[in-house]
Amino acid sequence: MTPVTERASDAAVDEVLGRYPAQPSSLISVLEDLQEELHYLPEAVLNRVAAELQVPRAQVYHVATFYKGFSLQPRGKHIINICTGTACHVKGSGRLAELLEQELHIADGETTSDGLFTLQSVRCLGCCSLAPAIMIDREVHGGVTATALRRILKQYRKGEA
Amino acid sequence: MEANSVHYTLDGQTVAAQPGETVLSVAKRNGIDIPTLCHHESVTPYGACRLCLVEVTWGKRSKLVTSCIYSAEDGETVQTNSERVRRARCLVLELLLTRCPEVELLQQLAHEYGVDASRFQTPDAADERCILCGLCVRVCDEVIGRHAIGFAQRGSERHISTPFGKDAEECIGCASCVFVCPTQALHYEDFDGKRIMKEWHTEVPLVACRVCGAEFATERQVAIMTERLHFAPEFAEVCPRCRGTEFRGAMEQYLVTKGTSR
Amino acid sequence: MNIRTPDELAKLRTTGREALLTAHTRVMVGMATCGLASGAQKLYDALQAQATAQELDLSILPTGCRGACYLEPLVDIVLPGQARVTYARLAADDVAGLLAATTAGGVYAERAIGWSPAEPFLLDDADVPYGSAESAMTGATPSLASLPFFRNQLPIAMRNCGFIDPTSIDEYIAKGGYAAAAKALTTMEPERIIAEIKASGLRGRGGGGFPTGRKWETARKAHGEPRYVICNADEGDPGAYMDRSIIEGDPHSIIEGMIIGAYAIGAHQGYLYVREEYPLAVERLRLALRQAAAYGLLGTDLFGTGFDFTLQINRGAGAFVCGESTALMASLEGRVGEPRAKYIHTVESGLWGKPSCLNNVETWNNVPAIIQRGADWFAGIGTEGSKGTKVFSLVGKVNNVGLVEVPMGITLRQVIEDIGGGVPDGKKLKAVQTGGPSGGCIPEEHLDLPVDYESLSRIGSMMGSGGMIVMDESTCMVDVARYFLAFLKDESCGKCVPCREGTARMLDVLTGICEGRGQLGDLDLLRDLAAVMTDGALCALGTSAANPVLTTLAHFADEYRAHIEEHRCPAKVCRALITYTVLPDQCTGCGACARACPSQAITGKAKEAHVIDPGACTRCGLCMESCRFAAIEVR
Repeated sequence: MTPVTERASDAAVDEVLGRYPAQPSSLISVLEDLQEELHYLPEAVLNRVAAELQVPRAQVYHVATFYKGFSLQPRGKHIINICTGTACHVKGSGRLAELLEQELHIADGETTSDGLFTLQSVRCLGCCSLAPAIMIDREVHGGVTATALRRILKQYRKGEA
Repeated sequence: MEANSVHYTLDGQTVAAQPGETVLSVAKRNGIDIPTLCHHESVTPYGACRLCLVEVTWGKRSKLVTSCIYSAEDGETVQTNSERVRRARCLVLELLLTRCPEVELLQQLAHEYGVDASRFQTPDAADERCILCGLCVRVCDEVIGRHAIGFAQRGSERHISTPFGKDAEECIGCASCVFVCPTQALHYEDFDGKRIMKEWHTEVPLVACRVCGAEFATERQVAIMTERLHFAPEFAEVCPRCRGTEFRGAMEQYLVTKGTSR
Repeated sequence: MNIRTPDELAKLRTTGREALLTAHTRVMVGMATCGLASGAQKLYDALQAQATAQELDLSILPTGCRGACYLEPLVDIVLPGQARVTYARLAADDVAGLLAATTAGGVYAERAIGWSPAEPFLLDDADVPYGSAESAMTGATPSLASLPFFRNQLPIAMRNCGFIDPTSIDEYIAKGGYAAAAKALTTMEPERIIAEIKASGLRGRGGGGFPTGRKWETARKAHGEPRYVICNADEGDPGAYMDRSIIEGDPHSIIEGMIIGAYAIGAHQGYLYVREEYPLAVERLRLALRQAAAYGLLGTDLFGTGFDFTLQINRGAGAFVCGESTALMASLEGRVGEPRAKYIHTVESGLWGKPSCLNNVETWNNVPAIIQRGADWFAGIGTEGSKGTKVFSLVGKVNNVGLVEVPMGITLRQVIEDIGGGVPDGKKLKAVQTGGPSGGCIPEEHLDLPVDYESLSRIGSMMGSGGMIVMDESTCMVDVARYFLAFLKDESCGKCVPCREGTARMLDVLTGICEGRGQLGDLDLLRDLAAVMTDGALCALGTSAANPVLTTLAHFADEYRAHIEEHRCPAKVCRALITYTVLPDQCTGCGACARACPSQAITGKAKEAHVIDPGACTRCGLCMESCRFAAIEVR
C-alpha cells in the first residue's frame, strides 16, 4: 500500500480534529479516526496532531506505539485479524496462523508486497462459538479450515482483479 | 509534629508522620535506609522499580507497597526489611541483573542482598544499561519542561526514545538526563561545535564565547535563558567567565538595579 | 419526541407492547457478531426479499444473541395468538419452506428445535402468553424450556437479548425499559437507590466481585466535583464475550443502568469505554445514545427532575491492560494505559483525579432490573455471598457452545454437562478454565463446585468476567499456562519490573519446558517468580499473572513432570515432544497426507504406505486431519 500523500493526510487531519475538542484528552479518539481514514499514522500526521492538541510529541509517540490498534507503517487494504483467544487457541488457531503465514508469505504484523493484506493477531474477537475465527476488515469468518481459508483469500484476491 | 499527624510503627519504633507523607520520607527522617532506583526527590514518585517495597500490616492483613508513594495510616505496622520484603527485593534485583548484567550499580546492590548471579537467560544485548526507571523522562518533563524524550511501546519492547527515534528539536542538550541516570546508560559528547546526545540521535549546536571561544552552552539553552531571564542577546554571546570583564561597568545595565535612596 | 414524565413513558410502553405482541407475525433473526459470522445476513436478506416478493405481512427484524451460539443462525418466529417457535442452523435455502409454513400458521419442522408459550417481561414480573393454550400446530416440536441448554438458565442480564430489535428504543421501552430510571429519578432519593443496590447484594460482574452498593456509597461520599460514572466494556479476557452480546443485543439496558448510577452518586457525565475489536457493539451503542438523547432520556432535565446526564463513547485501542480501572481512566484521559498504585481508590480519585464509579457492562445492566423488581427479589436468587445470576461464555471443548446465564450456586458440572451437553467426540473432560488470564484451571474432580465468587476463589481460580473454557484430554495444561503467559507478556504495560521482566522470564521457562529443554530446577524458578510477581507487581495484571502457572502446577503437576523428566507431552500437543507416524498397515497410499503437508515431509508411491520424514515434519497435524483411514498416529 503506498503511503498516503501529504495533502490527503492534511485534509484528513483537519477533518478529524474538527470532530473533537482541541485538548489532550482527545488524543486517542483523534488517532483512532485518523488510523481508520488513512490506514496508518504517518509521522507528519502525528507531529501535526501533537501541535494541534498541545500534547508533547514524545507523548503522542508513546500513545501511538503503545496501543496495538495503531500502526506507524502503511497497512494493507484488507486487515486479516486472526483471533488468538483461548477458545480459538484450544481449537487450533495456532495452526491457522501458520497457514496464513504460508499462504501470504508474510509474518504476523507484516503486509503482503502487493499491499493487499496485512496479517495481525488479535486477542479475542468474542466469537468463541466459531473458533477458530478470523476477521477480515469487519467481516468475521468462523470455523475456518485450511480449505475455507484458501477459498476466502481467493475471493478477496478476485475482488481486486 | 502537627496536631493531625499520623502515628505508626516503623521497624519496631513508633514514628510520627505528616498526613500524606510517604513512608520513604518518614524512614529517611528516622535513619532507616530503603533502597530505591527509580526515585529522585526532584520529580514525582513513579513506583516502577519496586525496590522500595515495604510490608504493611493492619489487623490480620498485610501487603507489600512501594514506600515512595504509600503513606501509612494510624496504627499500621510497617517493616522495611521483613522476609517477604527481602524476597521481593532479591528477585527484583535478580530480574534487573538479568536484563542488565554489566551495570555495576546493580551488581553491587544485588551483591548486598546475596544475589550474585541470575538464574535466568539475558534476553537481549548483554550490554544493555537502561533499567527503564524513567528518571530521564521525568526530569526532562518536570524539571526542564522540554518533553523531548519519552517511553515507547510496551512490555518487553518498552524503551525510551525521542519521537520516532529521531533528532528531537525539543531537546536543548542540557544533559540533565545523563546526569540523573543511575546506571550511566546515557552519554553525550561535545564535538565539532555540537552537543551530541548519543542515545537520542540528537545534535544541538553549541555556542562559542565571542571573547574566549570556549563552547559554554548549546544554542537552545542560550535561547531559553535569554527569553526567560530577559537577557539582552549580546550578553548571552559571552561565556560566564568573560562576562565580568566584557561588561565591566555595564553589568548594572544587564543585571543589577541600583537603589536611589541614600 | 421528548419524554418528560413517567406517565408519557408508560403510554409509550403500552402502545409498544401491543405492537410487540399482537400486530404482525414477528420474525426475529439473530444478528449479533456470531450470528453474522454464521451467515445471518444472507438469511435476513433472503427472508426480506422473499417476503416482499410474496407480499407477506411479516415483521422481520434483527435481534441480539440469546446465547445459543452453537445453534446459529437462529430465527425465532412469533405467530400471534399462538406461540414462539425457535429455528436453528438455518440456511438461505430454508427460507422458502420456512415462510411457507409460517404463513400457513404452522411449524417448519425441519429446523424447529423448540417452542415457547409466553414472552417473559421480567421487569413487570409477568409472562405474557402468545396464545391462549398449547396450539396444535406445535406438534412434535418440544418445549424450548425443556431442552437441556435452556432449562436451567435464568435470563436477567439477557432479559431482552434475542427478542427485541436492539436498534429500536421503542421495543426496549415496550419491554419495560427506562421505567426503572423514571422510578429512580422521580420517586427515589440517591441514598435510597444506593441502599437498594446494597441490599440486593449485587457484586461487580467484571471480575472483582466488589459489592456494587458499597462502591456507589463511597463514590457518593467522596470529595470532589465533578464525578463520573464509567462503563468498562473493554472485555479483554480471551474466550469471554458476554459483554459484547449484551451491548449488541440490549444497548439501552446499560444506558439506563448508568443513568440510575449517575443520579445515585451525583455524576452528570458518563463514559462507555468499549474495546475497538467490537465494531458492531460500538455502532449499536452509538445509535442507542442518539435515540436516548432524541427522547430526552439523556441530556438535560431528565424526566423533568432537573437532573442532567450525558454519555460519551470512547473506544479502546488494543490493550488488554486497559480493562484495569486506573489504566482505563488513563486511556480516557488520552494517555497510555499504564496503571497506577491503588493505595487511593478510584472512587475517591479517579478520572482526572475526581471521584469515579467504574462498573462492568453486566453490572450496569442488572441495575434497572433491581430497581424495578426490588432488592429482595434479586437477593432471593443465588447464594448467601453471591446474589443474582451470572452470564458465562461456555466455550472450548463442549457441545453446546454459547452464553449461559445461570443463578449463582449452580454447579460447574450442571453448567458443563447439563446445559453444555458435555465434551464432544466422546473425549474426557479434563479441566475448566475460569477467570481469564487472571484465573485458573479447575480439574474434573472439582466439578461439583458451586459457581460463586467464594468457591471459585477458594479453589485457586476466580469468577472473572465469566469466561468458562472447557478443556479435554487433548489439551496440554503446560501449553495452556504457556499460552496465558505469552498473552500477559504481550499485554504487560511494561512499567514495573516484576511484571515486565517476570512474565518474560516465566514465558522463557515455560517455553523451554514445552520444547523439551525443561530442567529440574524449573518448577522452583517458576514458584519464586510467581511469589514476587504476586506480591510486588503494580497492578492486577501483574499480581495475577502467575495464576495460570500456579493453578496448573497445583492440579496437573504430573504433566509438568512428564515434560521435564521424560520429555513427554501426555496430551500430545507440544510439538517438540511428539512425532507423527504413518501406520503402514492402515495406509492405502492415497497420498492425501502428502498433498496436505505444507513442508513436503511425506513421501511415498501411489498405493504404497507413505512415510513421514521427522526432520522435515513441523508437527502441524494437517496430515492426520486429511487422512480418511486413521493411518496417521501421533505419539
